[in-house]
Amino acid sequence: MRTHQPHPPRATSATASLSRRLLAALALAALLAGCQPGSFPREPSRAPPPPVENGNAPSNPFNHGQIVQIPADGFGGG
Amino acid sequence: MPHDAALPSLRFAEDVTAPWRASLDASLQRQHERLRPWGPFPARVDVRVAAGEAEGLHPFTLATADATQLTLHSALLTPDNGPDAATLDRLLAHELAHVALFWRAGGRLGRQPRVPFWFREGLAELVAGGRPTPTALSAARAAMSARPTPAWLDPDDTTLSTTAATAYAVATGLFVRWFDDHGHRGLATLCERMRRGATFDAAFEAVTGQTTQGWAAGSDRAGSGRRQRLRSP
Repeated sequence: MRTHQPHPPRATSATASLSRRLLAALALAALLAGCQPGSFPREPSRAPPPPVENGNAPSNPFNHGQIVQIPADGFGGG
Repeated sequence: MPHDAALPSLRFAEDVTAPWRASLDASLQRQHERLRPWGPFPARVDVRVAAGEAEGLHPFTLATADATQLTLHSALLTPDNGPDAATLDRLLAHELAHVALFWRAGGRLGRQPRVPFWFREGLAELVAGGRPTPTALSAARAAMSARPTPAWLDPDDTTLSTTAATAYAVATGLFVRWFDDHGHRGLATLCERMRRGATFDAAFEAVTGQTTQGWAAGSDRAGSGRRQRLRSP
């Protein structure tokens, strides 16, 4: 006797979007948790940025000391 | 002097030109509102607009950030009229995620946490709500099928710089996969370990129980179906 095995419900785009927003919120919460006022001993905005490796602008944007960047050629708006 | 602002301090520099002022000011206000529920932002961040392209960086660079300064490179952002609101919101959210990671994992100015491309850009894209275009998604799927996932974790892989959209789409897919498994506690723990001096690899292994390569290889073996996370919204 054959039994019917229903397919699991597929995530709708709305569900996927909500799930992604929830993940984003959780990631943001993790980043900012523990960053209480006074956590950091220096006034950041008055100090120079951290040095770039070897004192030069890096040639490879993915592999250097400065945090980068977002591509212009592939992502749509959020 | 400790930073004691109740809210993130985002402000644009004095030399921001008129076309940018209104849209930038509005976007900064939206970022304040967006970040407000999560408590104080760890740093005061100056937002500036640089004329032209980002010198010394890849020509696709739209924005850069370090611990205290976020720079929009106007050459690709319609300098005559300023950027559209959605683009500006996404750029600021993406770069602010980098700033937050800098402080969360680095802990102090001048101590730059070294985080692999896939992790930091995937995290920033997730936080910013970035969505790869269909073209980028197709390219990412093809690229991930052509070589095993661990190859994408190599921080010295310079080929990423020539396939930016693909690299960002892959990074987002990989990070979401990791974050799905380890959640905000995993991310917070990883950052905390780095803040105490651990390398990324050591912190990752402590949280995940595997090396990055082992985790990626295991994820690959778990089935290519997981790559459906690289899907359209």
